[in-house]
Amino acid sequence: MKTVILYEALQKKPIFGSYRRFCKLVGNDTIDYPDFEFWYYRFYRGKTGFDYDRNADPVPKTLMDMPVSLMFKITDNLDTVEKTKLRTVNKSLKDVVDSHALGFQKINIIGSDDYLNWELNDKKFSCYKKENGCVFSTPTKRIKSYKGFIKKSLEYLTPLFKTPKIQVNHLSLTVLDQMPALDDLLPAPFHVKSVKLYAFNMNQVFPFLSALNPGELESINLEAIEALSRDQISRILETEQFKQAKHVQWKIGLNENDLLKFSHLESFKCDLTYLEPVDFQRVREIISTFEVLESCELIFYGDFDRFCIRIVARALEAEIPFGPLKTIKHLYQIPESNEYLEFEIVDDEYYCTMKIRKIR
Amino acid sequence: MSSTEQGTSSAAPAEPTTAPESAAAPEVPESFYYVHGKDKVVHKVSAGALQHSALIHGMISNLGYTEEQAKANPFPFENIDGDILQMVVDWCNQHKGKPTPPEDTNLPKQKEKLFDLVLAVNYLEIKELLTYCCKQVAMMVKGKSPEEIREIWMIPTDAEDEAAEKEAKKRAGKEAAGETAAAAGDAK
Repeated sequence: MKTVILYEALQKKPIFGSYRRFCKLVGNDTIDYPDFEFWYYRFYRGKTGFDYDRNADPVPKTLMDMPVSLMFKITDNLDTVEKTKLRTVNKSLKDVVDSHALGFQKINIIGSDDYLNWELNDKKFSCYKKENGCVFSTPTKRIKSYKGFIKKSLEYLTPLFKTPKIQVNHLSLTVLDQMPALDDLLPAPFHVKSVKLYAFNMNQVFPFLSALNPGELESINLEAIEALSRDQISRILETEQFKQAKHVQWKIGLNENDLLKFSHLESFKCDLTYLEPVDFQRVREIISTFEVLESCELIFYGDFDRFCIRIVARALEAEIPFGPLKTIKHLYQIPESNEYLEFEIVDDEYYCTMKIRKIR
Repeated sequence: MSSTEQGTSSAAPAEPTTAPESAAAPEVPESFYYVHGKDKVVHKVSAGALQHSALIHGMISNLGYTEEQAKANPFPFENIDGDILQMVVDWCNQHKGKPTPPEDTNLPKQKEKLFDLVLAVNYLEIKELLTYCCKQVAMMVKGKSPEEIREIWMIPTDAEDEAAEKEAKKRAGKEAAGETAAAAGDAK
């Protein structure tokens, strides 16, 4: 047995790989890793005698013997994903990791009928449906499982999201098919600063949006493949998350009454409804009353014709230059104030964008 | 790099450790202090090298020893193994008066030694070396699955921990019952 270890040590290959080869060759229960490590490094240093008796050695210290203050110093050197892994080893390590905030710069999740992919910062994971289960891939491993792909994915994601003090700078969640199993994925209140939710139907977005901590959530980006119903729009507008957000980007089909609910935002980007006529002067009037607004963008499709830039400019009584039009600028003084709204109306062939900036 | 001097124990006799002299010797002679670990082997280390250790530096500042007093009273670190203290002394000598590099690749790769070193360095308050050691431990965790981490570090699962605790309680209960029965038998 020691001859095999000696051989591995003389090869100077990484020790854990050597241990794996040793177990494969000699058997899994032949020697514990710490014993293997002792002999490996003894041989590695040139002490090749086999007759050393370890019984007289003091009990070796392990990671669990480290004082908590040192464990904090050690875990400070691990990235967030490594920390999430460490906390699943046992309760003591979980307590160490959980005592500090676990911050993710970004988490992206994409789910459909036959896969669930996620990215934690720069580390990619995926779980694909297969005939008899799934294939789960991490940055370092690929594992076949007989479990369903959603079940297998949730085994990883649910404990991760239940980590106390988890904070996410940007969360992106895309649900391309009906996946009710994901509805409880985010425990409330979930600490996210910016979110992008993209779903087949806006109803799928509510469980995720409502789990996010209102007030802490500054930016919301919402989009659904299916057109929104009036009910869905009203429901979103009534959420605390929307009411306390600072920045919103939403494919909504906004009308003037909806716009009244945007007064608390510093910036927003939305498309105007094409199902009913838009009163642009009223839109401008409403926006001029928004006190904290810095800028906004409104997209107008009109009748999907090539002249919507002229329609908007004419409605705002802006000066329309001669010749082909790409951009029209228009300055509007807010009544009874020294502030202005600067309009830049940009033609994008079948729609136009009104970029509005408040000048104080 | 350094030699050793016999302490009060039966450790092998040797000359005191001398820190490496720089080519351009300083005008003011450097002061030296003496430390020993569990094995009582005394190491002679310069004050400059010992500045890395906030603990020893504090002791030196407070005591104001002369050379003779320092030699007669080596600082005892009974909680540190001799080979580990030797590593620490070597590191302090190597980095005496030099800016510490961003990484140190000469740390022990064997976990047991590394753990002993971490604990010693933490006790001696050698900030830079502690940073390197903690980074080295973290590197050993990196890229390993939770199962591999358990295997490498011999960490029981929570279920195994609970089972061991139950077993220990059961054993303690049985032993206590046995002692009570024996005491009752003696009384009779």
